[in-house]
Amino acid sequence: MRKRLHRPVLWCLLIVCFWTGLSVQAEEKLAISGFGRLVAGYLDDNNVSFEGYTNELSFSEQSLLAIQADYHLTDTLSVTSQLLAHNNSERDSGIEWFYLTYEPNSQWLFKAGKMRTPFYHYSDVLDVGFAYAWLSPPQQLYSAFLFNQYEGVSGIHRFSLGQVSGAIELYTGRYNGNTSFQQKRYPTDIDNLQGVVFNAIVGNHLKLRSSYITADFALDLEEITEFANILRGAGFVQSANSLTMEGEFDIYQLGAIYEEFDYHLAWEWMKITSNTILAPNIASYYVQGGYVFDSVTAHLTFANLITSDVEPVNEIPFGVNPGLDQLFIAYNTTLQRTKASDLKSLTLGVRWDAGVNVAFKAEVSHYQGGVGISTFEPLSESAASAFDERANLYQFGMEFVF
Amino acid sequence: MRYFMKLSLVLVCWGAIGSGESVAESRDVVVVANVENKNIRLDKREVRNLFMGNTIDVVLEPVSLPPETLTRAVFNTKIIGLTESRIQSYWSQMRFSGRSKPPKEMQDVENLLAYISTHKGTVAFFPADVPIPDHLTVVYQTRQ
Repeated sequence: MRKRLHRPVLWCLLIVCFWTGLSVQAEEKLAISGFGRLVAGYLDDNNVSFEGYTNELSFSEQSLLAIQADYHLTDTLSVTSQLLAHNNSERDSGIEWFYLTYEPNSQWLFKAGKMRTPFYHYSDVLDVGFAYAWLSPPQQLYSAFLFNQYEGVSGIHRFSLGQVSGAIELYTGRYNGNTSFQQKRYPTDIDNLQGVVFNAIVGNHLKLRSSYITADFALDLEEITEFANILRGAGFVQSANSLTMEGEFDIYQLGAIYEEFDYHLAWEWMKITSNTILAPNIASYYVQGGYVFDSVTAHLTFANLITSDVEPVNEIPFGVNPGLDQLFIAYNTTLQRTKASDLKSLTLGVRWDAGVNVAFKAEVSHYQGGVGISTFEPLSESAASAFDERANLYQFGMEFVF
Repeated sequence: MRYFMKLSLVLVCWGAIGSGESVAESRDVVVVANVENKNIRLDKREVRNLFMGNTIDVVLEPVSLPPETLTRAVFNTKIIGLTESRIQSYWSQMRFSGRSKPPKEMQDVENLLAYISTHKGTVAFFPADVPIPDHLTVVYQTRQ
């Protein structure tokens, strides 16, 4: 942990010093901004953990601080860097965004560098809690199940057509890093990442968003890969292949937000499909209603994640000899351990904007779902069977931007 | 909904009385642009889109007043249709995802008028009773 935080802090200091020097010469060319959040959470179940939360109050899962610097090289060209430091051991602190922007006019915007992947409505600002009403956006869509960043290029074209003001974004790139689930990080390679995002504002109140993403992926699941190699050595090639996290995925997303002065309604849906057995097909959605009175927003969200069943390869014979029986059991146990689980939740939350750049939030979520790679992690073998597949997560926090 | 819009305005006006701004003169706003074509008129949706960083058929650079001013509160309520908190939340999403930036802000009406007067292609909102120089164009106004 110390190592994790040490380097970014040094980076921050160096860069701030550098920019302070620059700003003396070119104050107007540089804009420094940032955001932070302090979030505490507590899960009322002592059998499992959920998104790192257990039944002990924790401040470290989502608390973070980030500084963004935009330096204008010319009227149309700028460099942006965002440095992020946080406590969560699943994530690295450091440079979150680092890209060059070319904006020749108000219709076109091009970016190249390291950016956040815009899967869903809030994916690229997931760390900016000030940008949304929840403390934790619906886990069913916004979990750390996917990689967060990519290195590549993106182009945005903004347009106006009758009552519609819209933007279409195309991006392509790759990612080489880690994917985290259940406190473990797995080396991940994402290639041929291609995505399109369509945003539209219809009239004064309706926002629509639709996106499609496809990529080739390869996750090194370490011990599972080792076991797959044993299976392959024993001649069970299909079984071995079914334990490989390698292939292509496609993600489809649709969303709508209707905003009035004193309330809003939001809906978002996504579907992930892939051609590998270990990566299940997933469909998720949430519906949210919010009531706004001046600086206070009260909101209620129902979210649901539905996974498809994993079909095991029935290749290894059972009951022939003890050695094969062992392989058979190990294969099915491995599939069981990597299974994703359905998850339903109901979240009630309040956001109070105490000023133009600071907000306080409190929320309670009731979750229903089994143990699975993207949901609940049992704290022990016995806890797994004792878990009644229901838990409440209580969170409160402060969000700020500057 | 209208009830809450009115109530919010009353609350905002209450706050503004302390700062010495006249409530009566600031209840409506005019949207003024520095453009060659004096016939340009915008509708509410276009003004809203301009000040929320979205594209409309006319290319104009929006300039705003600070969040704590009464005129901005009236503009938010009558044209944007969102509370200041939700507008700030929206801009944090736009800014930190590198999509767009909030309009430039001038500290008060005098500075804003001076800026608009001398910068072609800019647009801003003012209290309805502020005298607008002849070379500027009123492109939209809330009901008076």
